[in-house]
Amino acid sequence: MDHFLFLRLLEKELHGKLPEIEIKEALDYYRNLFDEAGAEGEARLLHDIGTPQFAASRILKDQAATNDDESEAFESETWNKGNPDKQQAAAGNSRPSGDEQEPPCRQAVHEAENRGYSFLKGIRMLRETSIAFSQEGNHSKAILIWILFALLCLLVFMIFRKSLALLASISLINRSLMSESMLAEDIINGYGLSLAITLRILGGVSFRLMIAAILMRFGCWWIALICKGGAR
Amino acid sequence: MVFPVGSTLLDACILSMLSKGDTYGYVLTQQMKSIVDLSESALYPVLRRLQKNDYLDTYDIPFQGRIRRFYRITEAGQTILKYYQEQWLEYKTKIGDIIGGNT
Repeated sequence: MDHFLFLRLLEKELHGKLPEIEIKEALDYYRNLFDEAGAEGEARLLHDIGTPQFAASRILKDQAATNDDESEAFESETWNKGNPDKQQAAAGNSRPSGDEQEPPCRQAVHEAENRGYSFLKGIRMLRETSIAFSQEGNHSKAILIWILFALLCLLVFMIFRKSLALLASISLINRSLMSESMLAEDIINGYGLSLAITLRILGGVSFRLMIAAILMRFGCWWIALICKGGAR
Repeated sequence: MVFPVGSTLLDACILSMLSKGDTYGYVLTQQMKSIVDLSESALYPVLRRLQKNDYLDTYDIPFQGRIRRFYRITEAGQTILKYYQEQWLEYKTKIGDIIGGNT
């Protein structure tokens, strides 16, 4: 990747998520750095900066943190980088400069949270309360709250099923597990998948269960494909 | 460095560097990188935030057929830097009293 591609991808990452003036400022900053580094310093600078996705996530995270708690978001990064134990752990990660990146699905959740979807936060808290009751031995209250949690999960699913199916599909496309042509079909038919992801987001099912649901969804897709005789 | 550098301390470092003279992005990030292990992508949001808070501003100077963007500390930046310096001295003394190293 050269710096022209970096800037283009960064712009693409930020497009629609920030005002144009903010995007221009960010691009100017990076363009200036590349200009100063020159051709000989470009590769090192690209390595230090990380991927365009990472650079964009830093900007967006800070934008969100301005409304929330900016110091906390920042301290975690400086701490990770400065701590030798964590550095070693990061060195063991095979993805270059991707050690601080979250999966697209989680990023989407954080974005949703940062945009103020406090309803989801509320439901999560409900689940944590239930676990706390359960740990204290107050099982009747825990079960009651679990039931409430399940009902609210269902409600969330009913409300957000289309957008969640879309989110799930986009996350799969990001991971190159699915092609764009499958997107439209998934928005219409991917409710099973979106239910699994809804529950996963809310912490109701394990990661493995979610993957199982995704695999089932793919199973259905392959069956459909075979039935159509590979018409697509 | 094993001690985390919080955003306030980072702000103080950047403002302190700029108080010694205007400088352009590349030099500023390289100077910061020499004291804190931070990437350029982590520094940009800090600079942007300081700019939005009117603690620093920027101006462009043409250089070899392109634009070089300089950062400059503002009056508000000087004021907050003075406050940070006082706070840092107090913090340094108190921590030094406990873990040693005060001379």
